[in-house]
This record gives sequence, C-alpha cells and structure tokens, in this order.
Amino acid sequence: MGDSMRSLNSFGVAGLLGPDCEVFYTNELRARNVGRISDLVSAQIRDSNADELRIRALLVYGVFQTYAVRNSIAHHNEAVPAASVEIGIDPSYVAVAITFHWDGKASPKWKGMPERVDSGQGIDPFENILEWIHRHSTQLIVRYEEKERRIEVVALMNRSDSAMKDPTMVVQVNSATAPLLEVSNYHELGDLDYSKLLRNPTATAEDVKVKGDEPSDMSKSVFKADSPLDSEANELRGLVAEYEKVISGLKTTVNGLETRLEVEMNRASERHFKSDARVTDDSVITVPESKPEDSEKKEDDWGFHFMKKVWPFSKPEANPEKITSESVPLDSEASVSEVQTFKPDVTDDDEITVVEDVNEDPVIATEASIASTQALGEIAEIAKGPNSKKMETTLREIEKEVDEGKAKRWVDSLSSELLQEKAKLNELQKNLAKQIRQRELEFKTAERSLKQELKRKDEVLRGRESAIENKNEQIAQLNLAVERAGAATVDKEQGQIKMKLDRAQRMAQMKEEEAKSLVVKMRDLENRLIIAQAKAQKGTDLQLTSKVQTLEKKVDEYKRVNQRLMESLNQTKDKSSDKEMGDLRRKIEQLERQSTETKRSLDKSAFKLKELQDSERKLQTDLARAVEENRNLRKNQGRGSGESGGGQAAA
Amino acid sequence: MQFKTRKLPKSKAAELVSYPVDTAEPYRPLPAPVYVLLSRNEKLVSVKGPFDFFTARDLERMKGAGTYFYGPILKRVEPFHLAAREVKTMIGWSQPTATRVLEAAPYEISDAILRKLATLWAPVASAAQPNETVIGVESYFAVAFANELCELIPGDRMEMARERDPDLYEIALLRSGVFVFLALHLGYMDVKVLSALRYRFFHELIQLTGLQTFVPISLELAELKRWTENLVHSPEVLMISSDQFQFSISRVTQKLKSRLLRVRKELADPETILAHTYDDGGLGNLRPDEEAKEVGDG
Repeated sequence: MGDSMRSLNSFGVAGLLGPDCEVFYTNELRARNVGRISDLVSAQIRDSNADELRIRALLVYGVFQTYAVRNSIAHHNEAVPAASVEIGIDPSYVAVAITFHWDGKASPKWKGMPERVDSGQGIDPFENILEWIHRHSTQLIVRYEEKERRIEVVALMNRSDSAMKDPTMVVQVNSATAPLLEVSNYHELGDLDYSKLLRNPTATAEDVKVKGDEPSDMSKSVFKADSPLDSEANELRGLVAEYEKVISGLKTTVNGLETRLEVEMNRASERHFKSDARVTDDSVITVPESKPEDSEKKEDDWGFHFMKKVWPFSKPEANPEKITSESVPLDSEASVSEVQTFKPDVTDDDEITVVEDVNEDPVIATEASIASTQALGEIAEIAKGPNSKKMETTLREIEKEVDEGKAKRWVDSLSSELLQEKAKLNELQKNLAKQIRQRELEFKTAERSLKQELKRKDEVLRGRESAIENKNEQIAQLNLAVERAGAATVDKEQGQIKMKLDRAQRMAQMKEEEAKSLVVKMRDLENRLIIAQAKAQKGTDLQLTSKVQTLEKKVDEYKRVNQRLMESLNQTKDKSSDKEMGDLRRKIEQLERQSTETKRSLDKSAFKLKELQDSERKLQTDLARAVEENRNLRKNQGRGSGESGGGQAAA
Repeated sequence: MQFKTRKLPKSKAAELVSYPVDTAEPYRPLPAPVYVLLSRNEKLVSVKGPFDFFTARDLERMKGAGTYFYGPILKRVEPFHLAAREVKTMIGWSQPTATRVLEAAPYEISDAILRKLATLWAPVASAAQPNETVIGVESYFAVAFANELCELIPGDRMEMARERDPDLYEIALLRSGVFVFLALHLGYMDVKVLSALRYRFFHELIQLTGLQTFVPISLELAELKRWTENLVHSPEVLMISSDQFQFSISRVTQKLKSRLLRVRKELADPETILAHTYDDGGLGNLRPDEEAKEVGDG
C-alpha cells in the first residue's frame, strides 16, 4: 500500500497520493484519441522518470475496460461514452485512475474479485483486463459506488522500485462520507503547453548526430565502406563520372570534325580522280567511311579535341601500308590488333588542325591523327568500363601499341597524376570527415551540457514559482482572515456579533461588581451571624436574663409575702386596722404592677430573641443565595471568555 | 424572476429586435422578455418573461396576430449565444470525419473552448479580495449560454414544470444552466452528455416522474451539482465569481479554481465590460446597492 495514501473512501487519485501531488486530467478518453492523450501525458511527465510504456499501456487498458464492463466486443464504437482519467504524481508514486460507468444490465462481481485478479483467474473480460493492469503496476485498486454505477480503476506505480507488488484492493465508496482532499494543483490537459511538448524536432546539419563516441571509431562513420577496394572503386567511379562529363563535350566536337573531314576528303578524292593534278604527297590516302550516326557511335565517341591538340607524338612510318577504305571500327569490341597502321605523313611536331570552314581546302587526315583518334576512342571505351583493371590492361596495350618513350611517359605521367590526385582527394576526404566528426562531437557535448543546465534552471524556476504561488495564496488567505477579523463596518452580522460581545462583557463586569458587593455583604452577615449565634448560645441578652431572674425572684418573694399577708389578713381580720389594710393593698398593687412590668419586659426580651433568630435565618438564606450567585457568575464568566476569544471578560 | 420593464413606450420598438414567430422553436427558453406592440395603447407590453417559453399552440396563435419584439437585454445576451454556437462547432471538431484527416485532439479542443469561454468573463470588484483580479459573470447570461448550447428539454416536461411551480421552474432552469456552464470549464465536451445531465438536474429539482433513461453522473459533477444548488437559492440573478472557489478544497472547486486562474491571468481581457441585467438595457432592475438604498430610504 502506498505510504502517502490518505483515503480509500474517495474517488480520484488525491486520496492515494500525498498533498504535494500534481494531477493531470481529462474527461474525454476514447479509443480514437487515446494515442494523442498518451503522447501528451508521456511528454509532460517524462522528467519524472515514470515508466512511459506502462502509462501508455494503462491508458489503453482503461479504454478496453469501458467496453469490457458493458460486455461489448472490443471494437471501436462511438456510442461507448468517454472515460475520465486522472494521472497523479508525487515523490513516491505515479497513479493512473480511469473512471467510467457500467450499464444497468450487468455489474461486475465484486465478491472475491481481488483474489481472482491476483491469482490470474478472472471470470470475465473485465477481470481479465484487470489482471493485465495488475501485472504492470505496483498495486491495483478498484473503487465503485452502486448508486451511480461508478467504477474507478487505479493503477499505482512506485517510481523507485518497479518490482514492488501489493495485493489488489476492491473498495466500495460512500461518496457522502468521502473526505475533502487537497492537492498541489489540478491541470486539465488543455491548459498544458501541448504545442511545445509535442513539437517535432527539425533536422538540421548541426542536429545530425553521428554515432560513435570515439573519433577513431571508423566503423560507425558516415562514410561506411565494406572493403577498401570498394571505396576505391566508388572514388574511381566518381572520378570517371567527372571525366565522362568533360569527355562527352569533347565527343560532340570530334564528331563534327570527323564528319567535316570525311566530306572534305571525299571532295578531294573526287577531284583527284577527275583531274590529273598531282597530289603533293604520294601517299595514298583513303578516308575511312564515316560511320552511320547512330546512338551507339554517339555514345562511344568522346570529345578529345583538347587531347588531340596536345597529342605530343605521332606514329612513325615504319610500315607504310595501304589504307583501306574499310571502316575502322571504333567500338569497344574492336581489338587492338585490328587497328591498322597508317603511313605517317606528319612528323611528331605536326599539330592536328581543325578545319572550321568546309568551303576552304580540305584538311588531309594524317595518319597520326587517325591513329590518335582511334587510340583515344579505345581509351574512352576502356575508361568507361567498370573495372580499373581493364583500364590498366588497355593502358598497357596502348603503351605497347604506341611508341614507347614519349607515349609511355605520357601515359605514365597521366596515370601518376591521376593517382596523385586520387590520393590527394582521399586524404582531403579523410581529413574532412575527421574534422566533421570532431566538430559534431563538440557540438553534441555542448548541446548536452546546455540542455542539462536548461533543465536544471527550469526545474528551479518551476519550484520557485510554485513556492511563490503557494505563498501568495497563503498571504491572500491570511489577508482575508485579518480583514474579516478587523473589518468593523462591512458586515452587519459581524457588527451584531460585536455588539453582543460588548453587551456580554458589560454584563459580566456588572455581575462581577454585584458579586463583589454581595461577597462583602455576605462577609458582614457572616460576622453578624457568628456574633448572633454566639449570643444565642450564651444567652441572647445577659442583662435581660439577669433581670428576668431577679424579677422572677421578686415575683416569688412577692407571692410569698402576699400569701403571708393573706394569711395574716385572714388571721388578723379582726385585728387589723383599715390603714394596715390599705397599706397592704397598696403594697399588693405595687407588687402586682411590678409583676406586670416584669412580665412585659420578659415578653419584650422573648420577642427580641425571636427577632434575632429570624434575622439569623434570613442571613443564612442570603448567604446561601450569594454563594450560588457567585458560582453562577463565575460559570458565566468562564463561558463568556471562551466565546469572545479574549481575556477581557475574565479580567 | 423579477423584471421591472413590463411595459415599454412605443418609441422603443425601433431599438428592439423583432421576435421571429414563424421560425421560432417551441419550448426553447427565451433569452429575453417578449413584448407585443399594442397600437391602441401605443405601448409595448410583455407577454413572456425571461426564460419562459412558447408552446407550439402559442406560436400558432401568434402568427399574424401582432408584432412581437425581444426585450432590450437581447443585445447583451447575443455575445453569449454566439459563443455557445462557436463552442458547439468546436466540440464538433472531435467527431471522426469521413476523410483521412486526423481530427483535433481533446486537449486542443478543451483549450479552444476555454479561450472562448474566457471572453464571457469580465473583471468585477471583490470586497474580500481587493488586491486580486476577480472575474465574474452573471447567472442570467450563463444560463442563456447553456440554453443555446444544449438540446431542448422535452416540451411536456417544460409545461408540467411551469404549471407545477413557476418559481421552481425558473430555479431549476437557472441551476441546471449554471451547472452546464461550469461543467464546460471542467473539460466535459460532449453536448449530448451535458444535455442529458442538464435534463436530469432539471427533472430532479422539479420532482417530475418518468425519467426513462438513467444518466450516470460522475462524482465531481455531483459535487458541482450540490455547489450549484447552494449558490442558486432563488430565481433572482446573482454573480458567479472566481473568488467563490478560492478557499474550498473539494475536488471540483479545486479544478475550477485552477482553470479560472488561467482564465483571469492569461485569457480574460481586462477591458471587458461586465454584462449585467440592471437598468433599462437589462431587465430594468436596480443594482443591489441601489436597492439597499431604496429600502433604507423607504
């Protein structure tokens, strides 16, 4: 299971990756655009070292799943709705989640699915494709919700350990209880710079990369050759092609000259036969018949007019023979032995001149010129041949044929010059190739280093930009929170809440003051109570009690005196006088008055006692009330300080 | 939906666009109130409010029975209708063609659609974020856009909904329209699917029965639906602004926040003027601050 997994009870990759993950998504994954989407996604996440093959395969599997879950044939069908795909990347994992719906006809069989998929015993096409997904990922998680027939197939891939495997999980999601999960950023694929990511590289001369790390690795050079002989042959072919171009030009002029020569020769012979005019020279000259101008002759005739000009020698008149009128074959099949020797008419120093004007006196075709043309023709034919060996053999034959000495020297010089030039060209080519390879290697290394630096700088810039964006967002959030806390006049509800807070604070202060006063009263009452209790224990009023006792004593004495007096009165009714009776009566009345007064005082003291007792009870009840109010105030103060968020109420 | 310009002077007729009775589509929600010219009273009187509709019978009766005009707010709605038609065309680029030309990739179409939608957002003031560029669009115009883009809701359902509760009908239309408008920003580019979801949303709100085909909805669209229900709580016009998604961390709001960030930073024109429904060029309603003053004075 992924270490950064935050919640399985949610759709999307956010629950399976860390909060710093980036998510790329699109809601239009179909069969006909899965390639385009996989191209763009692969280009975007290439720097993350994610396995591109797996990601492309997973996207394709996802499309197949949209068909398989409907029990449809895996054949493109526009009626199958598009799937949504999210690809998330965090430092540890890459997650590919494909979401779609199943039809009401048949739902996948969820029970036992993980075991079947892990053991490779899928029972339907949907599970068979899940097996493939499981093979190509670290972990496969299938989430579903019955109510909306949602399915999400998520493939997790560990970026550092591709061989890691975790068991498949199938989770039923309750979206109503799914948590809210934050990610670093969501990118819709349309917001990416797709033109830059998918740009085709333009191939230029500088961009052409030559394989081979070592300059001396000739086997991988551009100028590849199977064998040295073939390379030489190719070079010779090139040279021959160049010579052919020059020679073709010469050929045309030679043809023209020959035709003119023939015409003039014929005219001269006619004149010779018609008239008796002697020819200055006795040599019997026949002009070879001009050959019919066919394409083969045109191809075989080479323009060697410049060579004729510079032909330094002519054949000596060793064996003057009759020049026949037979045409001298000039094709390549003619052997050298068939070439007849001609009587040399001119010396070596004679130059072959070309008669341009036909109306002038005809130019006599000298033996040397004829021999030279024939030889040149043969050389041309041989040079056209594919093999240099043939060229060499013909050169030797020519050497044999023609006079030794100068001819040989000329041929040798020509061949040596050719070889020298060939060698020079080879050297130049090799040097050029070496230089090209060196330059290419230098450019390649410089390009690599520049690209790496650019990549590093881009990464640093991106990191800084993302950090700046995060900080800006945090700052915006903090500003908003501060504004909300400090704004006094914008929101009415805030004002009301503040009003309520002020009132509550004032109430709390008032209650505190009341509590303090009540506490003071309570203490006074307590003191009074203590005193009253003490008095009640000792006696409410000592003076009163003493007075009561004395009065009681007096009452008793008076009662006794009264009884004695009454007895004496009864005994001495006769004996007493009226004065004594009056005195006694007066004394009795005084005593009675005193007794009533003492009774009244007793009543008063009793009443005072009752009053004190009542006051004591009141004090006790007040004390209890004050204690309760104090407790309630303290409770309210504690709640009020928690709600207002400040310590003012507590203070 | 409240609108105060229920009567207009006859002179206004020259400025108004006539309603095409002959070619009008029945059951399509009207983008603006429709007025009829009463020649005797020399007044234009509204016969239908915004987002109401004519039935086929109504249209038959209206033919030859007078001259009908759209309200002045149609001029402000027209850019949204045009954008809806262009978006529909863009969505059609993804259809496989009969030729051998490769059709546009979905990300290219999504980018093109977002660029078009960006022209509909305008800078608005925000008390919560005075230092940030905030963009907004009024719900009225978002719904007009969605009505033009989507396929029609079946006529019998529309009639049933209006008869049951006209206010609830308007709320359902507003919520489903805002839902479609925002779903486009999330990259949902199938008109049929969007129309089906809009119909399902409408159907559930009106609590109609008989929705025959089940239209599955993804979780993020379900979240968007809930968000829309919270936002649109009455049939009155309100502002949809980018700062509403700033601090929520549900998946759909994070995605909308990201896309609208690109709209406001890269695509939206800061000179765009917000299309609104106030004053005589709109529905004749007062702005919220003016309305508050009026209430206070009253």
